[in-house]
Amino acid sequence: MLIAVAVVVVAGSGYVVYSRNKSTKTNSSTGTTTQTQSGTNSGSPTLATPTGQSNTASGVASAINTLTTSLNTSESSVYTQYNANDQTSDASLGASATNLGDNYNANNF
Amino acid sequence: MPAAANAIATRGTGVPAAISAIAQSQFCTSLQTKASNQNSKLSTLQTTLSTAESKHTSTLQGNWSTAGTKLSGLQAQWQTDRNNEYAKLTSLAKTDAEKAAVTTFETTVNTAITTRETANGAARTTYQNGVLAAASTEATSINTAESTLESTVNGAISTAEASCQSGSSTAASIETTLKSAITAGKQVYQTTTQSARSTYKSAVTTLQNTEKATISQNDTTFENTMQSAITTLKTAFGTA
Repeated sequence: MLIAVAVVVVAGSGYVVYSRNKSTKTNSSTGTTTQTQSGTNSGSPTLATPTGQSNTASGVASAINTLTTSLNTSESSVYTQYNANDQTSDASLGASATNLGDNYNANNF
Repeated sequence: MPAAANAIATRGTGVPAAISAIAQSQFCTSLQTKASNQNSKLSTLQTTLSTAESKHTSTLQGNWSTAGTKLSGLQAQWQTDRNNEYAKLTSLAKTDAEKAAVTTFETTVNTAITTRETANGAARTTYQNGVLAAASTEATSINTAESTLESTVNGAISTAEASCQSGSSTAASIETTLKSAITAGKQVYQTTTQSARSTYKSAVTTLQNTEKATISQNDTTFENTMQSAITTLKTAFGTA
């Protein structure tokens, strides 16, 4: 199938090749093909979600980053919270022991 | 010779002897009442102490149980979060190699998580058992100290009563001896109980440090596994 293309020279940056219906364009310098806006200029452009290696890489990186962040929510912080008061957990016992000792007062005799 | 008889016998020597005899009589007469008053409070105080010892243990276990429930909830939430990220990775995998890499990554991470949780759980159990043992030792030391104090004081009172009966010593001497025994016994008790509490606190500190070090080591092992898994995954996606 014959596909007509339009070539537009862009000074200093190679040239841009538009596809027949201008739905995509390819920059000769970067080799990057991007989607262009179609139809009239009314409304917002409706570009499809770009796909390709770079987006996969960022997606993988993002997922790994989120995963790693959640994994780094170490359980140790929970342990620190739950045993923080264990050292002084015998305070009531200490008070009771003191009261019992105070029961023995030489001045009572 | 009984104190009263002694007082009568020495009456002829002057007023001071009579006064001494009366004072001795009053001291000896009130001694049993005072000892009785003291022991009437003792029973309540012993019950309070025993309750405090039980409450100490139950409070520890209650706090750990609450924390354990909270931790289980967090672990479940963390697993849900991980599953969400696994799903994202799976959706990004286009080739069979990438899909296989995600599956391997997921298995590796989940295994590492389970290993860490199990290791941390063991560390937590070791810590809890250690604290309970320390609390038991503390309670035993305090109870022993209390028994020693009680027997020391009761023994001193018995000695005082015997001295009153025999009239072998003056009231002042008997009173001084009794009070000294009570003071000394109480001092030993306070030192022992304070030492018991200090020992408990020190034991908990040591146990916490040991637990912290173990968990830190578990984290390091886990992180090393994770880094390796991440590198393998990124390589599979060509993004390493």
